[in-house]
Amino acid sequence: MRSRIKELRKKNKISQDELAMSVGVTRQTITSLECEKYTASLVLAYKISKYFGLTIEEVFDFSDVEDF
Amino acid sequence: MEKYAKKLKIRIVFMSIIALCATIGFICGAFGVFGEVGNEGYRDFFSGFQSGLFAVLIVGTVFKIVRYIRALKNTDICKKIFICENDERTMLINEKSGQRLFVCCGYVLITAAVVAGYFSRTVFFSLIGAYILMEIVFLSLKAYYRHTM
Repeated sequence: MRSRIKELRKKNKISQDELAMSVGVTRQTITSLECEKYTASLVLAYKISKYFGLTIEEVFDFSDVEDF
Repeated sequence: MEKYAKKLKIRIVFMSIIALCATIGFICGAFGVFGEVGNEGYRDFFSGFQSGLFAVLIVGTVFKIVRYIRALKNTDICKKIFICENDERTMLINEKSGQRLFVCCGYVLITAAVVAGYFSRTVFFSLIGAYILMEIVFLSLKAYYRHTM
């Protein structure tokens, strides 16, 4: 899933380590999210969005998610 | 974090008991309390294997005890350990690669190998071989999921 984590992180001058520690995951998880290798859980998506003061939809791109 | 600190204290006690038992086992093995088996070559190998196993247990548990004590004294280290253990991606990788199953089977295989070693050399080496193969499969799966996730 695409996200704006990298963009927001650079905009706010935050390192991967700082973000990882703040949301309670490892740096590797942040790297995987930025590389679109891993899809965050709802809780993690909420924590990251809250950290940047945005909504989940503003951080994560749900356009690829299919409707049933 | 207080709950986790309590958990760490319980782990320290548990690890200390294991370290103590392993030390007793190591000393007993060194004095030949466990008895002798087979010919001289196999006997040396088997007792060396047992001593090595106990030594690994002692070193491993002492390392963890020191790590946990440091974590209890420093909240930053405690938080780092907590995050490493509860990271959702790591947990998913462990789940997908079947860590619990492999660890449980590993303990059973090693214990069975040590017991079987007193009766049959062939069974001992077969079980050790099975354990090594299982570890290779587990580590390969883990590396694969770490790379793809």
